Amino acid sequence: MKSVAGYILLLGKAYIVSSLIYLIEYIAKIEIGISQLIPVDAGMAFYFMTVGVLYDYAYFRSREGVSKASLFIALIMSIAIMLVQTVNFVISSTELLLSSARVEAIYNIIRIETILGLLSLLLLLKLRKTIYE
Amino acid sequence: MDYDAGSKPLNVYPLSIIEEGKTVKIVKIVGGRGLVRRLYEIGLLPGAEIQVLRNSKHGPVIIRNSLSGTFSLGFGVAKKIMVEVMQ
Amino acid sequence: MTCHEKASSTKINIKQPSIKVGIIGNPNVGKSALFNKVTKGKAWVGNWPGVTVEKKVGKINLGEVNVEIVDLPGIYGLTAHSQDEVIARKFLLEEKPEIVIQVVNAVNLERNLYLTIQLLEMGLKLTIALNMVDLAEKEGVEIDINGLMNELKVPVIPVVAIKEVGINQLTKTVIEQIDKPTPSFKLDYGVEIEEAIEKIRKIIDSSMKKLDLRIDSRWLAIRLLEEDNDIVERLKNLGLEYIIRESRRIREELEARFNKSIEVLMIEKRYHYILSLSKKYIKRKTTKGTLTTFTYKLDKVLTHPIMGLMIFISTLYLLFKLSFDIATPLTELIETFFSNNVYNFFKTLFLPEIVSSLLSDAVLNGVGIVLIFIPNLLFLFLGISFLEDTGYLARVAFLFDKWMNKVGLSGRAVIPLLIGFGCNVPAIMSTRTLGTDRDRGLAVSMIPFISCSARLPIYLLFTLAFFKESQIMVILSMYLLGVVIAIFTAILFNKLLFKRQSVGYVMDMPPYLTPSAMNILIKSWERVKSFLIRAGTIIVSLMVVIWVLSVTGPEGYLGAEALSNPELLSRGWIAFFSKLLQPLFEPFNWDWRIIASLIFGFIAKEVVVSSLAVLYGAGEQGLSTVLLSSFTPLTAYSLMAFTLLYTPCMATAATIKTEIGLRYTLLIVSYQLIIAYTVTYAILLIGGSLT
Repeated sequence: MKSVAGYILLLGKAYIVSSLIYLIEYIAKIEIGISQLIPVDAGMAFYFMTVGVLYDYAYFRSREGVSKASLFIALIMSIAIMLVQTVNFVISSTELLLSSARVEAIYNIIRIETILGLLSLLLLLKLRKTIYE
Repeated sequence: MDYDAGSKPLNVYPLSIIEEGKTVKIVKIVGGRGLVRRLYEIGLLPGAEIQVLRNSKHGPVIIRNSLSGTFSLGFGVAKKIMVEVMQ
Repeated sequence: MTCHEKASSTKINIKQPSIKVGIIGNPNVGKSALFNKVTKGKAWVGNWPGVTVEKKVGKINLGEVNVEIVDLPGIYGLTAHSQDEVIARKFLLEEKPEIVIQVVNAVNLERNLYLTIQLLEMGLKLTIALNMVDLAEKEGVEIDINGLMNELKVPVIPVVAIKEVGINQLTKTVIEQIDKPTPSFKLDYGVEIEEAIEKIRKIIDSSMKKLDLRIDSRWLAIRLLEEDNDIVERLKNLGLEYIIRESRRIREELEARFNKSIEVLMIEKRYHYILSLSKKYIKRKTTKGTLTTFTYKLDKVLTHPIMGLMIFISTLYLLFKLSFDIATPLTELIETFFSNNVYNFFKTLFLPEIVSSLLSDAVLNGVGIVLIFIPNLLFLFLGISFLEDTGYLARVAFLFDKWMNKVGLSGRAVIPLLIGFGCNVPAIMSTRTLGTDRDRGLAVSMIPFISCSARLPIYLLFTLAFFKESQIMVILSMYLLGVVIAIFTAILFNKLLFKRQSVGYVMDMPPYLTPSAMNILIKSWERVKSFLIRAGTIIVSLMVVIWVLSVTGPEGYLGAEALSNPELLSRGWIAFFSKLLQPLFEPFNWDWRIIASLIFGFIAKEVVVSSLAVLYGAGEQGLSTVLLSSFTPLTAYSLMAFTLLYTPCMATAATIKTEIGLRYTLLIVSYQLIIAYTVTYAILLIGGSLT
């Protein structure tokens, strides 16, 4: 697990930062970042914050047993939201996919949930054996 | 694991105030028939050893006993289970 | 099998009477998974007579025998003090199943053995299905199955229900058991108690002719010694009070000697026996099995007061996202399909206008409304069943128990309440898991006040027109108002109706398991089906009633165009009643058109908006402008509040009726009307004095 420790920390930070940007944008009513990289609504921002905290907690407490549980939950949550969001966007973009606006549709699917979710999936595959102890 | 309740111990407390991580032994359940029966039925009898996994102070408690498994007990129930702390 | 053989065996089946088999077990042992596998998914779901507890019955052919399999509620013992235990006991005593299959969790065998002892004492022919043996192996639990079988004289079949392992062996054994005699089981309760049992038994035996029950007299004696209320009642009904009196006397003598409750003593004896069985036949290689440690670690995070809560809120968000975002396109698909194809079908059939309107505007519309719920319901139930089967919901109940107690409910009630924010219908349906009628009734009384997603269009419309700057705050205030009234309702109903306090909750926290997809699908589909059939018929009937009241009036039939023509509508019965009620709403400054829209809003809260559009002669786009001229911000706010509070929508009311009963539904609807009126009045008063 030590080899991926830094990876876990970064993943967690990515979720937290993305969530914070949403918060700032919302309070200050401005647009800072690219919409792909920010959660779509407040609920998603909360979700991101939770996942990020779980990842970072797993990193900081990597010596205690808790961290594995924390990591496991974070992995499941990131992959879950990726799946739900992707299916969501696929369904709502179905019309676009059928027309020539395919590029736009694909652009819409490459979002932060998908990116971070895929990264989490890679992490999960790598840690599959050790997690279950 | 012995269900012999033994002699009356001095330090008996309600389960609701026991800290997380401690192991205790049930001494007596102070409740109406229904509650006593229900707890007994799942193996929470005097003499049973239980581990306190979570205690939310003035809230429910999660306990584990090797015969009964893991249960969460409401605050009202935890208050009525008198236990002695094991060293 | 050749065609010939099949035909002859079918003939034999028709002549054989079917035998009854009951499946019983502790909660969380995989009983329903086993039931599904044995009945191959072919089961009929109903209710146990007189109560709102689910009863599942399946009919299958095992070899040449017709078997009726009944799924009994999950219970820990048979002392009949909880509703589930009463139901199970009643079935075992009155319906006299040939065989009882007890599903037992191999990981936690000891606790399950308590029920086993009680079943054996009852003199039933028992077959034990030792489920989850694969998990037990992982846990390092070794069970000497043969030893156990020899001691208890009962077949013990290892199975893994989810993977369909051992099922055939189980059914084969059950069939073999039919012709075998019932083994007798006797637990030695110690000299003094055994003496007492014998004394009572002799009294019972001497009047055996009066007792129709094919029940062991020793079991009866034990029950009487334990002062079992149900048995006492039954004996009273048979006019056998003297047996009760005698056994009471014997019991009191005994209790004086021991200075302890006899019941407690006997339970202790049973557990002593279980311990001896455990020492002989169950070995644990380690105290920390993989399954329990994994669960323990996960629970450290999931029941953590802060992290656990955050994770739960996120999970809820995901659940709603799944059921609404993904279901909505499907809903729209159904809607468009209906309005484009199905709806016009009857209009093309050259039927008289009144008939085609009845069929399309009332019946089909009603059916459409019911069908529209399906995608949302299905996904919500899939999500909830998934969470339920993993064991996570028990942790959620733990997290919320403290807060729920303040309202008089247990932590378990939080799930239905939160689901209500999506839709009240599945919320009402999920109160089934709350155990007691009191808890269910209390939770159900709160749910209609929770702002479901259908109320959002109304909030949006009005806030857009009147509260543009503070839109979100105003909408949030509606949600908050609902929650506050819900809490008030719970406290009120608790004091007035449900005087008995909740018995204090004890909840099993099973180890986390990967749920079986088949189980989840079956469970979810059963729930959706039950809504479709039971609530669906009520909804369609109500639609017909509303249709009749719209297209007819004091003058007679107005024609089908009345539904979209404000002039004609104003001559219909609904308008008539609305005008009658108008004086009531004078202080609100609402004219009959608003009242009529609210009546239509009973169908579904969104319909308030479309009705307003029709009645005010504006399209839905132009509605905001029209509203601005007829409302002030204060009256608009009061209308929003009234819509939130005044009545559950038709689907919710129908669901309450099927889940609880008609009387309670009427009570809730009347209560809501009163609350809505009072609160709206209060809002107008307070608002009026502020401006």
